[in-house]
Amino acid sequence: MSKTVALGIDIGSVTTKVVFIDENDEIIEGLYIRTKGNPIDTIKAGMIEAYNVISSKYGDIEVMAVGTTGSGRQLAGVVVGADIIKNEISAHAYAAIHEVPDVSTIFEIGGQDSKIIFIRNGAVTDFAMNTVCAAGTGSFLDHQAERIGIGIEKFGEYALRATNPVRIAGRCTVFAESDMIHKQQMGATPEDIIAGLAESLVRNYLNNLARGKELLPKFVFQGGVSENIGIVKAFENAVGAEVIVPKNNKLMGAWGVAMLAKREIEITGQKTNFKGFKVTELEHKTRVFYCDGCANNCEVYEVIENGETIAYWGDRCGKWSNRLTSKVRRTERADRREEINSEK
Amino acid sequence: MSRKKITYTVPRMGYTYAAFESFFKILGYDVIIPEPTNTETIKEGVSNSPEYMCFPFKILLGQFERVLEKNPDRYFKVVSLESYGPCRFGYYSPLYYKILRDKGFTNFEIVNIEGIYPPLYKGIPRFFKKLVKLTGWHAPWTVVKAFVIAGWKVYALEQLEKKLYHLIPREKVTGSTEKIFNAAVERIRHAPNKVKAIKKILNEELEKMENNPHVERDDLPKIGLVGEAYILMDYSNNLDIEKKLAYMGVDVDRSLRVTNWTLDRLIKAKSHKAHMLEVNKGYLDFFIGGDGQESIMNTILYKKAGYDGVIQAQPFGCLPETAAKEILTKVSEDYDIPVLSLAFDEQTGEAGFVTRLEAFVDMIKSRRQMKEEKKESVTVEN
Repeated sequence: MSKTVALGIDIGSVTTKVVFIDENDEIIEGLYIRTKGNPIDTIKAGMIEAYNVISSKYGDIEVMAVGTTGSGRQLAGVVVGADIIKNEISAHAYAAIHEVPDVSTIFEIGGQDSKIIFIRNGAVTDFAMNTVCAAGTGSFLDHQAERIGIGIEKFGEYALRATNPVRIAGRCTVFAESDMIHKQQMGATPEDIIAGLAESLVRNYLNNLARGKELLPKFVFQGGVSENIGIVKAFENAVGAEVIVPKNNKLMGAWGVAMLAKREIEITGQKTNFKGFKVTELEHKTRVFYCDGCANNCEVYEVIENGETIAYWGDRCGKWSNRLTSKVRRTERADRREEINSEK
Repeated sequence: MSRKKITYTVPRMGYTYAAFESFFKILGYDVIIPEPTNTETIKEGVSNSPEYMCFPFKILLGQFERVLEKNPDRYFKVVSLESYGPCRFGYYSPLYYKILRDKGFTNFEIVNIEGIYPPLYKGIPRFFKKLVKLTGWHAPWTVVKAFVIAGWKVYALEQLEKKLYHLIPREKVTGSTEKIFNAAVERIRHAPNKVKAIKKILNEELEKMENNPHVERDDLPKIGLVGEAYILMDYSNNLDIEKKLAYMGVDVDRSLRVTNWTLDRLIKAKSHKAHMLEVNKGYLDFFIGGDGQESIMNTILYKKAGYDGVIQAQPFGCLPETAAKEILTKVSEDYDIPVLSLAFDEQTGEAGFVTRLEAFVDMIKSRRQMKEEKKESVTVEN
């Protein structure tokens, strides 16, 4: 018996999340892998891995809808054939509301960006995203873990064991790092430094994103950094209330977009654009070039599938991206002509 | 220096460069318009500016430098805008002069135009002195004619732009209005220097755009744009934010246009200030340089006009706009209108930028829905 599933892919800056959900919107398989340098290969590897797990569990599967989100959503959407390409804020909010219906504030910290989303009566009413600096995001924590020589997954425990957290500047990663090194050379224990880092990260986050806004419970904390119990604790201290970390905290974006894609297909009643699992066997290449058609000098990106271009973007005038639409139109016209001819 | 030998170059402001071009052409000069902001100009400008200088300064420096570089055998008058006040905008011209001289360019001088500042007995002679330096000696009627024609062209271009952003979310074939618009801009640019001719072309082109198949509707989400003038008015600086929003299906309006900006600064300065003080009461009642005060005023006015959201576009590190941003948080709360602040800098990666825009539009749509549901439930109860 074949099982109907929806697929959600979240291509973040640091990690890629692949999620399969069933008819009841429950996650049946979720993967969390590092994006590394090549998002396309990462997606393919993730899809194959998840497919193998699910097909061994349920036998045949049928994908009814596909959604992509994250900073690489456009690329992934073109490669796998997505029904919906959604920004990560909407996707994260949708999943959080699904999990905790009366949520009011969502903290989300990922690899390269951090965001805060305000929800009232089940709808997003405001949001803020870090603008210029990556201070206090997952990448920075990763880097610090490596420097101190403690695995990133142990960071939380270390922070909890601290007796006297030191104060660390959280405004900028360069300041934070030199502060940490200074305190370490003065003799502070790693526990106290890590706890101090967690506190400064939360302080910077709230100062930067939540300034002047009203923080109401319930709080949900998601994204890769929410794995770190030290930071969860620091958030709880800062807002003075319980902060819920949902069980799929790392997969929320992918889960949200899978549900959105499923809903989209159910509403429109169209067939999915999904190209099938055969895309994992195709060869994809990307290329970037400067268009010299006019003074704009746009950076144009090209995605090539098995030697055939499937997408262009980055051109302001549409010179390149229109090429593909006109190609589609041409083939449509040819199809129609054939139809008419066969009718005759 | 004979008149023929001088070439003018002006800052490029969106589509209105066509009007500035005809202004100097009527006076009998050559004009070279800088390229739109692109990776090359940004690279030039950034590498030669002080690091903490405003982004518009860097862009303009890059544009002027490219023009001077490409035409070494011409003598240029570089037109720069200038204003007094506490912000760095007041130091643009002397800095351009110094930096370009240091780079080894000698074939230029910087001229600028500024408003009439009180006291009037000093302000008016000063204004005319600058004007003469800007245009050279001409019969007054030639200058007046050039002003009128340029003014009409700016007006025509802005009308076309307004129509374009009105029609994009409503058109039946995506991209069809833009094509007509691009042709129309070229026609206005090369229009004969007669008010009648410009009017005729404008009406023809507006009608052509109107006749493009579209579905008229007034239930689209509405977003207003506020922020720093140069980033806001030139599409190549703000990654074409207006067009992007329009293609996302939003009714978009820009608060600063060349016409109202010049009118408010040069001619209606007094009444404009009074209006601004009245609207901004309790938020910001003094001048902070740049367009900070305008940003706050326009946000409040947009709310009063029934807009659903406001986007503030600012160059990264702009002092007036940074101040305005903090105040806007309060305005946003008091008036219940979401405000999204976007800082523009040398990055050309659009991913983060588009993410924020999309999320903002999504949010506004869901807010609208919520409001409508509330309204319905109230009417049911009644």
